[in-house]
Amino acid sequence: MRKYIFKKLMLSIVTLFVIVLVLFLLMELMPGSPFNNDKLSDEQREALIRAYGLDKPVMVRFFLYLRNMFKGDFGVSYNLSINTPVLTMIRSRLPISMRIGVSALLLGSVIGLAIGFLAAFHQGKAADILCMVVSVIGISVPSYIFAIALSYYGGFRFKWLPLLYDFRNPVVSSIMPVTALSIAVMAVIARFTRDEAVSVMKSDYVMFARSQGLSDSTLLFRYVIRNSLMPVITVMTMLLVGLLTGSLVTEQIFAIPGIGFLLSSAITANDYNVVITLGFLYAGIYVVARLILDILYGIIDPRVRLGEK
Amino acid sequence: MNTDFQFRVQGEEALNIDHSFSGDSFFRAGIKRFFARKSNVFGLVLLCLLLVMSLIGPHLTGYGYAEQNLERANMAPRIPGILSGEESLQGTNGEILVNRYEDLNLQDVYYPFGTDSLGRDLFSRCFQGLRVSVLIALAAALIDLVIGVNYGMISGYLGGKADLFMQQIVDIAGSIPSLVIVTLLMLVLKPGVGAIIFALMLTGWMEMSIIARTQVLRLKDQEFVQAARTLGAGKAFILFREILPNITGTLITQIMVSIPSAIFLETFLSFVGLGLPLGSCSLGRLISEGFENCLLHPYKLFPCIVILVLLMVACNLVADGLREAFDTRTAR
Repeated sequence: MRKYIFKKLMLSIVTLFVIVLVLFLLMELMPGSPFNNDKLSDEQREALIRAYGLDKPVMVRFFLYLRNMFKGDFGVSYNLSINTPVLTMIRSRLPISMRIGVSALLLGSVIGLAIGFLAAFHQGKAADILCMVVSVIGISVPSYIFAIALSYYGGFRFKWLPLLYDFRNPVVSSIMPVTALSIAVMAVIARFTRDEAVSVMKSDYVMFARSQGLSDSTLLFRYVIRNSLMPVITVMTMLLVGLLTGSLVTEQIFAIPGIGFLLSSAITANDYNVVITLGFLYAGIYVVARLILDILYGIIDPRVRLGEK
Repeated sequence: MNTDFQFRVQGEEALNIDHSFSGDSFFRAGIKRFFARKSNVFGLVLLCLLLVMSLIGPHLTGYGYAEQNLERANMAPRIPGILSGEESLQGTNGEILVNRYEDLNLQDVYYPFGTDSLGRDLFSRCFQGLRVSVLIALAAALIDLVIGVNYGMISGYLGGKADLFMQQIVDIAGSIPSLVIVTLLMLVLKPGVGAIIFALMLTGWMEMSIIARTQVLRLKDQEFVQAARTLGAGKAFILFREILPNITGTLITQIMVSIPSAIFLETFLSFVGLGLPLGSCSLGRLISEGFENCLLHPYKLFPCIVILVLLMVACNLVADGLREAFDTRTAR
């Protein structure tokens, strides 16, 4: 068991290292410089580049960056908000994105689970068909299209809800973005729950329990729902990471001051440190989530850690 | 179906206990299962229609997709007998009904989807955009086939150290969120279809390789492969002539699964402003242009979104159907 965890941990660390390296090299290849203000003379630009240490060789800068990273210093912003540490910029924006992402995940999961189980219990009936239609549409339509439709009808035509995010009124103004993001989650969870519950219901142990004369409700709550939840939770964790990245466009549409919005403005402004840090943050969340899942699975299911053959 | 023999159980009721089916190969049986469901057929027909429209659509109205006519900018949709070309504009003092066709005195001019702010025909543009999406879908399929299938099959068949090493690479590359890498890559490369396809090449093959590898692992020690090996068949022969035909169904399913995400990637990137350059025409660009003035002229946004949604729904329906028809685990 310890060996298994150690192996997974090493793999995650190597992955994170590769990610930093790739991000750094990509930024290196990127055209343009962060100091492209026309008012700057060539000498001033040189001085800026020297002041920030951008004239040193790539490898030297990479290891400097790595060393600083271990100290918790991710550098400063070059031009979005000059000389503000990147961490400070992220710290104020991350909670907003997290709150919207987690709300969308919860909302989508609850509805998705309900639809999925209903469909599984009534296979081939109206609920099942509804589940199929909902999941196909939810998976097919990108979340930003729901966001556009909601902002047009709900915000502009009928004026039910605020068109843009308002930090003085965060709850009401995040209803539309949360709904738009939650539809895809709902679709994936509904589909997955249905398939999982159907295969559990077909399994031998459920058939055995039924043959023992257990009532339908005991069967559902003690056997089917409990046994189909575990894989669904795995999918939910992965979806959260997808939500954080997927909110890039949705945050733009509703002008939400979150990290997705920050990333897209940093990309257009060539703000190297912000882009690397955010990319690293996204990747880091993903890697850590996978590590936790792998370890949990290793504990629950010995087959996983001994290597399936 | 023939009944080989019957048991007579009390009187009239006959209990058939053994059936023999005419032998369908796995592949043919899968295709039969696929066509047995209406939603699959619907998806396939829709997909074929869209493919045909992507070929002939841009030429139907007679206006080129890049043909500008500034006098006829912002015309609302007009279809004989259905839409009059009228649109209601939301002004500060209520709604006003405007018909630009009558204002310009155009009797026999019909733009089924209207025109954009430069007077380009949106019908031609939408289907030209669809063409770009289809192109990207084809590229994604090709990448799956060429890189994903080969990588996975070779890794699975070689086994041992080589497999471990190759899987370590997939593991690490797979943990990098592809959207982050693709976004940065688009900044480095010159925007365009080529750049999107290159980005797909770096990130799109991994899922396919994992599936191909599992399938090879499942089959490589079965009797028919061992028989071929005993008869002296080489590695390449076993992989591509013995194993590959048996996993075609699963591979086709995976190709169909990866196509919607490739189409989504283009529209997403174009919407953020990273995909195709300004002035080019794709569904993503049309959506982002339509979004810019959708509060005033919502008709510009509507058709391209509908086409995108139809395309995604069709692909997903077909993919689902294939998965059910070929996946031995859920097959009924």
